[in-house]
Amino acid sequence: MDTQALKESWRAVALSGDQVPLFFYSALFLMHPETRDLFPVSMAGQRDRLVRALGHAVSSVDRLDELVPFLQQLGRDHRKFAVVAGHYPAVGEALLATLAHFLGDRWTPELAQSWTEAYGVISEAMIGAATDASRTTPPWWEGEIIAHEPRALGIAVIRARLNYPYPFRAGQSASISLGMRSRLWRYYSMANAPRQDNTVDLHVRVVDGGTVSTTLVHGARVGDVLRIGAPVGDRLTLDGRMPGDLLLIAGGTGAAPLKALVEQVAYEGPQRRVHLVVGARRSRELYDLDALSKLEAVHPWLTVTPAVSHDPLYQGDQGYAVDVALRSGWRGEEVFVCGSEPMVQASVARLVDAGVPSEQIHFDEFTSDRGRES
Amino acid sequence: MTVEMTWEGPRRDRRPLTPDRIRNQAFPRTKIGHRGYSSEEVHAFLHRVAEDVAAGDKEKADLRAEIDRLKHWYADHGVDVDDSGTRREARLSVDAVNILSRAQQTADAQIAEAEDYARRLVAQARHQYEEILQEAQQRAEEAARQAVTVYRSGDGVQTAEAEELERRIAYLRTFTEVTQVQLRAVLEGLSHQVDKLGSVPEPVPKP
Repeated sequence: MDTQALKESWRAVALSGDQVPLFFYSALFLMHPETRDLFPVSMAGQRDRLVRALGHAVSSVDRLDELVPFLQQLGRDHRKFAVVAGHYPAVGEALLATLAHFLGDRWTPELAQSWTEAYGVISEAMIGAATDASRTTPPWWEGEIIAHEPRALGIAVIRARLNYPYPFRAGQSASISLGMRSRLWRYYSMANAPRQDNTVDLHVRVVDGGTVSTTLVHGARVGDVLRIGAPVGDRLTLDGRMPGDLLLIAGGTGAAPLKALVEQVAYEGPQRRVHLVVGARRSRELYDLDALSKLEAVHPWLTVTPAVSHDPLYQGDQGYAVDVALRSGWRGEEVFVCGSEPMVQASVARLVDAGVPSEQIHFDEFTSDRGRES
Repeated sequence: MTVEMTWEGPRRDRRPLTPDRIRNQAFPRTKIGHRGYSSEEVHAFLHRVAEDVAAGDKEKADLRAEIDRLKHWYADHGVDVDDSGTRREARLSVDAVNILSRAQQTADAQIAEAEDYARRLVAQARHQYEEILQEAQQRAEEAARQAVTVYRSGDGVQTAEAEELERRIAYLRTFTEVTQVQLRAVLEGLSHQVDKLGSVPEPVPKP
């Protein structure tokens, strides 16, 4: 396999931009029409993702120790899209046809051989990881909605019961898809620690124009079945190296994974003080305050402080969650932040200014309610 | 290919913009008080640019199909323009690929427009909702002030508790009246739109 030729030819092909994945998918669907149903109706975002993933694979094709774990994760992730081993040769065929078309004269038998070998490495790693994973976990879980509560304008709390045991840790998230839009996936955090009855809670806020969130809040009903991918993320989880007190700062539905942490402390310990500050722009958007107040009433180690930033008539603490949290000063706690991207960025900057060491600030890049998916 | 192309193009480290990336490009906000472009104008312009880029891609695809057709014509008439001679046995029709690509691009653009429309609609509805509540709050405050004035000018024993009660009753009565009427109208409009959003047809199952 001539890795230099692979890289150079990919660079030449990639210059044609969107035309390359456009050609690739059309060729794939013409040669193997059965693959069309694996994809959403709109392919615009999908094309960018394909080029990104391929570009990454090609650029590190001579560093297999780095590439293989990436491909293995990709292979495991693709199980939830109902991709099976039989689909891989079809993709390889379409890929070679695309490269041949865009390279013209420069598509030599040697180059074709190198690409065939490279694609062999890619598909073997992906199929191998998917096969290994299939021995222990289903490709996706099905979660029947057993409760659907609209709590505020555009915010709903959804409880779903999963069909198989779902091993996750408090603070993790999962990609979720609906029967109605079965080929679109978005990440949501579990708002609870694992339970005996195999149920999970999701806090969903409507993203303006977002099809998945809109359908989850306004269209989903009790009895509908969600598809739930394997749990991911370890940025907002507690581990044994963090025995100290916790300061949890939430914006909007970012409260979900932090509520899960509170439940974990309640179920498993160890004993520690937890201060949860839930922020909202207006008091009517404090959608989970009743449940949090009940937790606070039962657990003497827990303090819940609502913070409202844009509601002059609100009687309680006014200001952004991070400012309300810092009002009484930072006392060495581990700090967890979750919310929209601007909220997390601003809060982290504010915490650093206030002297919190960055290794004690924990936040995740994709548990907020935005999210175009891989 | 008859046209000589260099291995390395002029912008080897830059990934070309795609219509989707153009449509979804976000810009940081200027600080309050600084002048900036209207975000709706920028947004509309991006959609226009995305359309043009897609049109350019279509034209290039047509040209490649034309080259492919010519090569086939030469090949069928005994001239091999591909010195490498590595043509795939099963010829993939570039024209068929292009027709499918065009249909896909049309679908992509239509869906992007629909999602953009939904986004603006929901943003507008939320804005309207905030305004209604704010107006209701203001009018209720006003009504409460008036109730207190009336109470104070009345006869009989006056207590601070009773005055506060009068104030609250007047506030709540006005607030509910104002919000009830307006929110009902908005909700009807909104649920109508949401129903439309939820009923995007599923693809027809294969026979």
